[in-house]
Amino acid sequence: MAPPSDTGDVDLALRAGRGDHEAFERLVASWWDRLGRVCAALAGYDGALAEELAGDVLVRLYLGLPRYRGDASFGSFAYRICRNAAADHWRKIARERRRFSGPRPRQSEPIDPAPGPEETWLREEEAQAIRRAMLRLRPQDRALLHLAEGEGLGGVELARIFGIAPGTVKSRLHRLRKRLGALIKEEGHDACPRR
Amino acid sequence: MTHAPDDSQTRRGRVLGVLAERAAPARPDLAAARKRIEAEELVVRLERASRRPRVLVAAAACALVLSCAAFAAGSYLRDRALARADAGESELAVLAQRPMEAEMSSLVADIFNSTGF
Repeated sequence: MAPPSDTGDVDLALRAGRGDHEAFERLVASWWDRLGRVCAALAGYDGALAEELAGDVLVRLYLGLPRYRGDASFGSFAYRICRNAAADHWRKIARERRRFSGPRPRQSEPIDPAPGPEETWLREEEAQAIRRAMLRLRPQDRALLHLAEGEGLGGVELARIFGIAPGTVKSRLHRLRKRLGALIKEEGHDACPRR
Repeated sequence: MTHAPDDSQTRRGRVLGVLAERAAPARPDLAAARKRIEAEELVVRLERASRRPRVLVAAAACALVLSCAAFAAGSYLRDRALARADAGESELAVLAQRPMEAEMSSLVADIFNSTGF
């Protein structure tokens, strides 16, 4: 569960927005892992693409912080930047694909097969089925599910991040969970989605 | 969330977290990132600066078109007056014979022709 953005983050963000480099560095250090995970989910767990996206997010964050007023949590502000950066990125890829009609510029790479308990666990049938099913969702839906289930964010914060009403978040999540459950089944694992 | 997640959902949440963790980028080298940020800042500033001259050029072009139109209108009226004076016509008599609308549309057509529209 992600810790909620507290007044310390808001203060740091406001200071960073006024050009305080040290505040910006502290903010990045404290939020990088969470932002990186969202970028990874948005990038379909493609490490190279996630890194590219995260680099873009870092720049956008720095350039966007002077506009941050502290009226929403820093997390909402930062996750929103991730979402917008990914949307722009996918639009760019779609444009390039239309222009060149070539193959997909990037394909998701398999998870690094380095040994270790976590990797072994991830290679389990269920984890792989979940991963494949997630890749069949739209990036924004993947991000919504990741933030809700992987990071444990609540409906109100998700509503702020995605710019939709809390009720819509709830119904969209319900639909997504059902769809993900069906996709996991299609991918060969009998996961039980929440009914 | 407004409901407690069931076991499969909790496990799925863990899987999602670990999948993302595995693909998440390493912490950035902020010194290197700052160079990119500075470059992007420069691009933003240059874009802003390049927008200003574009506005000035557009304003100058509008002013030029309006001056040409005014000049053409002046020339037209002067030529008409001279032509009528040459023909011995009185200005008022011509205006009385032709409706004002026709006079104006002819004037507008001449202005557009002379300004290249």
